[in-house]
Amino acid sequence: MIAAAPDAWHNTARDNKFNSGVLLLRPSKSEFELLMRAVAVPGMHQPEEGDQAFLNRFYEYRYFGLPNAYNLNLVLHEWFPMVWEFLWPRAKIVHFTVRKPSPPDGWCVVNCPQKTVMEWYSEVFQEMLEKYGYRLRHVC
Amino acid sequence: MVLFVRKGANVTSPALNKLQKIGWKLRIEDDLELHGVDIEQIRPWHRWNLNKLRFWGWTEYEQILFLDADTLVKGDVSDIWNTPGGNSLTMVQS
Repeated sequence: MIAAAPDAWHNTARDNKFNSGVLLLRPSKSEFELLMRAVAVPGMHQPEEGDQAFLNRFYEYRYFGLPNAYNLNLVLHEWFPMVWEFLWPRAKIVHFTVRKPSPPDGWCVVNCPQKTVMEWYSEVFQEMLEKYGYRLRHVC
Repeated sequence: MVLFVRKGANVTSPALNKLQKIGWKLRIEDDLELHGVDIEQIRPWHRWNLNKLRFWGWTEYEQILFLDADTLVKGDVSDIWNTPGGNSLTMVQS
């Protein structure tokens, strides 16, 4: 069994394939063995693809849908701002797809389409550093 | 709260200690051996992602909510355990 939220791209806010960055699954020895066998079956796994394409193929007609709030895709922020605005207050899990979480040097300090979201990430990150007394190693 | 770390990623011990202090239970494991898959052909940024298949083998858990490392939890996710299919669905055998 698997449940996952719809994927999103610059040209679609709601793909009919799921994004495998957030997965609810029920471990099972037989399912595990089935997956391990299926990945070797020609046509199930495309040579250049990772897990997402394979899992979408394997669970194509039987996966359960999670609400988008469980996997809010950062790509929506730039390309579907109204969808983003609707989902942001409801968001449970934010997925940094188009701009990855990184040390402050890599953050969007001047300007980028995702500036406000990266600032939120930065705040949460700083809180974490303070709470645990961590200091960042300087990244050159 | 379990963190899967690829042994091959060679994450340093100080970094692993910090993650543990935050509350992560570390599971440092070897890459899955996938027959019939040429890892080198997979796009570099997706190369190790088929390791996700291992979670179906973690049968000491009833259910797993897996999150990519590039996610951040913003709200209460406890409702997830009531997801349709979560408790009620048994595996659909193909």
